[in-house]
Amino acid sequence: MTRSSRMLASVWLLFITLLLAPAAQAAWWEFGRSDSEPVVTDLKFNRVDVARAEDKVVLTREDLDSGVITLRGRAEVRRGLIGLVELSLDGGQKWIKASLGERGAFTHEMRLDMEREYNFRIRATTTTGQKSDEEDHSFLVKITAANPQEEVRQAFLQLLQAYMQESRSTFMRLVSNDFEGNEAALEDAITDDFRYLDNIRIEPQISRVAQFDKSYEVYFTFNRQVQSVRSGQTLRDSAASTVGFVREGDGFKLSRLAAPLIFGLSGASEIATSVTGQSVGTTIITLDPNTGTAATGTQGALPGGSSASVETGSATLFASNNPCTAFEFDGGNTYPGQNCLGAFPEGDLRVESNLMFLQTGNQAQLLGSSFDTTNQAPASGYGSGPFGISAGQVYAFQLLGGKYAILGITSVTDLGGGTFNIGIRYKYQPDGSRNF
Amino acid sequence: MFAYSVSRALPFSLLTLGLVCLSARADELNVSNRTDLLSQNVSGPGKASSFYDSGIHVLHETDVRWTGMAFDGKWNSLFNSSLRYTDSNQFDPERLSLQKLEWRLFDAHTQLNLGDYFANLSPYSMTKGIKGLAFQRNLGDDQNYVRAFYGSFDGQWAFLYKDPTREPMNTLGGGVRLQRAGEKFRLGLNLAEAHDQDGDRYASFPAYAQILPAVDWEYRESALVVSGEHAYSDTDEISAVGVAAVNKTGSAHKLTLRAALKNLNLDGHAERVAPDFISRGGGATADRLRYYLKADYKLDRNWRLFAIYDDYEDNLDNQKTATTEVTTWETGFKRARAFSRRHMNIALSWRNKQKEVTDGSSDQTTNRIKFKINDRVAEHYDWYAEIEQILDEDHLTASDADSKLFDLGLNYRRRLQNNWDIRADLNIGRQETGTLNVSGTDISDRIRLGLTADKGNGTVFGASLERNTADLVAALADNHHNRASLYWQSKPAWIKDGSMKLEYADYIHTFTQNAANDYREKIVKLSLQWNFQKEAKK
Repeated sequence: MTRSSRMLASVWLLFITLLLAPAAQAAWWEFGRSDSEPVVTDLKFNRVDVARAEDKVVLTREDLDSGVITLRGRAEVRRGLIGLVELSLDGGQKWIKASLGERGAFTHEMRLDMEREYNFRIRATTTTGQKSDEEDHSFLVKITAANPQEEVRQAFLQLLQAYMQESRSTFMRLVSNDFEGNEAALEDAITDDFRYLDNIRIEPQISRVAQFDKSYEVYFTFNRQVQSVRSGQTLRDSAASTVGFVREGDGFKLSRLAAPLIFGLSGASEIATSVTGQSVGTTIITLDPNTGTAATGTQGALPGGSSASVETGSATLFASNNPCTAFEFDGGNTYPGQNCLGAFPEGDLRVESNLMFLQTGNQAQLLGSSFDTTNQAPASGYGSGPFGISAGQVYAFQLLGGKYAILGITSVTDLGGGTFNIGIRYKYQPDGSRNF
Repeated sequence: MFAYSVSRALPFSLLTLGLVCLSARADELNVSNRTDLLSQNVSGPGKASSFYDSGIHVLHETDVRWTGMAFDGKWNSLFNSSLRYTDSNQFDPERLSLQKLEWRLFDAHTQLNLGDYFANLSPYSMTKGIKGLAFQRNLGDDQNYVRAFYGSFDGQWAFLYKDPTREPMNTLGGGVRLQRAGEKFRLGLNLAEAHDQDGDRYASFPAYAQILPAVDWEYRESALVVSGEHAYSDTDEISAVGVAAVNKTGSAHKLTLRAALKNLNLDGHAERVAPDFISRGGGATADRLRYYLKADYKLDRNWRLFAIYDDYEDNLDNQKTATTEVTTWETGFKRARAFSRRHMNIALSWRNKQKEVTDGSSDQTTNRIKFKINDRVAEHYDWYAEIEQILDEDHLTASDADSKLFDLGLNYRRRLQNNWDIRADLNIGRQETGTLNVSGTDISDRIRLGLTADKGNGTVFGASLERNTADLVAALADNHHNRASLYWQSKPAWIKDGSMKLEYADYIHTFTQNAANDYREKIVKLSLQWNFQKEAKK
């Protein structure tokens, strides 16, 4: 069983254990509190879950049911019974009794004024007089008359503003806890953006804001200009993209990013969960987090950007007059023992003694740059070879099917009798762009 | 071709339907317009670097929203459209474009959509805006339903009715979802389909055709929520025109745990997405195995501790020559009411991230310490300071790079007796960036001052000054940028339910060692926004 399979099996066992744990009692996860202290475990305003709200909750007209908010929840206690649940809208000065049902379930209907902040608290009391901690669910509540779609637009513009002002803490405060990509990778990528890009300017044109249930999607086009800190070069791009928002706590938070990324350029493979179709093939700005180099690339059809999907590796190819060894970029596969005469059935190239032959349809050219600093394959200047190979050479490949690769010859060891061991390193870009 | 012809006729059919509906009894008609008049002047030898379009330009956007009853009052109807006109490619390559077109017909149990529709199945299978037809029938309540839709994935209406050459791909697709839900559970069954249409526009990129079934579920018990999704994709990929299709199949699984305990909040998820899992309408990071757990423990009112573990790797099918593994640990605390000050908060965290490639081509570690403090002073002043140190290490080359970030902010807010709300913000920042295997440090400095005065009746004055300087390792790359802006906003009575805004901005970009790149941008913008609302009668 591999390491990952064992870990996945452990996770499944943990979930099954949790599911089988009896619900009303023996709540093993309630450690840290006494058996007779009650706790409010569920709390909702209509369909809005506020159990984890901390500072503020903002509701819109659409969250109301004919102008009414129905508070629903559950209070539990390990030993004893829940006898009373009360709520306050003025910070605890006046308490209102909620309707208590079975097993600690409670409800209460209320009408709140628009655009007015209420200091909400709730507490449960057992039949023996033990009270829950009011601070556990204490926050401000407000119903806003603002159009949620307009609020989403403003949240998007605030996010852009924080990004252009390079304020990472402000930016991350506007990111949802339920961000669909890798939130930690987003923060790392934002950090890299601010380290390696300067003078970030973005002008968006919002096409529309679409809503579904609690999710909102912003469709926009943008003009962007940045300056590369490493090279001093000014880069520009224009494309279309989408971002998703959800309502959380006191406002709308970023929940999803599509490629081409408007934020976190170096983390496309971890952050973007989809591609905006109309931007496929568009020139976009990319950022290599390893070298800090900003460049322009081409947006591919799948998430992963134009540089993050690059496959790299190394290999040693045995080359003689016959048999030959073929090599394939996609997967880094080697095919030893090939007949050196005539066409070869597999691979993108074949080494024969100290010559390199290309598969029919492939082309290559010798570059003057080093393997590590070559980040883009040329657009033209390719030939079909064959090529004499020696250590230190770097080739760019234009492959059949429109893909590109970079090949570095790291060593050529003469084994005598016309046989060689050829050491290679390679970079392969499967998305069809010339960027690495 | 038939489907494509139908899709191109769709917007005009919708407009006709909209006009027909307008003749019926209506409750409300809303029309809003935003007009921007801009004068943009770019000068200097480096002006080609600017994305502003020099000259005088206009941008109009008009939204029309109509709601009412249809078909003898048996159905509710909603019609939404948005048109844009501009004379500048800076805003839109189309002169006149349709941004949104939507018609919705619904009653308590059934909904029909025509036009723009947000197609939502499950995250892996389909969450995408389409242009097409959708149907939903509730089975009891709105948490139990069956939903179906089909349409074009085109992002712009222009791609449908004009078929411009800049359209990258023509994709059609649809899906079906059945959801059943109760007080403690939710179960969704989904089936999505998508295919790219033959053409020559994808000469450099693959074209896809796929079927994607998925199951999503959720179980809630007291303070515990467990959810998951399981999907399978069967995709034909055509790498280039004339190349035979290659079939790729893959699965994706995600489990999520959320527990809100008394003092401890837990968030965790595990995810495995196969390398060949492709979703044209949904979202997933392919070739990824990830485990994530965050624990947030509240010691008391003032102290909070947290810890995060995040581990992910690729190369799940050993299809690559090496595997990339990234492991991140982070821990820290937050202290509210520090030093007995009601508004003082302190946060400190340490993060360690290790990235390793199993063929030995990369082995890097990053350590980051972040400190933040904020407080309120003398009723009207808030301030914050943030310091961060990042140490990157490359174990292969035995090199390291040190980066530091400093950020200081001071905010002032006061409401005067005549109801003016005055705000001032000062922000000072410095960034010293080191890069692995590169000698030298790039230094960026930033200072920004912003002022606003808000009367509260829609009248706002604002001004800002900003200066950014960069002293870079790269040759001849040092630069500084100065920005100044002023604006005035008002809601005059003669613009019913509207507003106007006048802005002036001046940006000067100076490249200290290469004056041939210098340029300056001056923008004057007048924005007018008005709204019209009327109850339309038959």
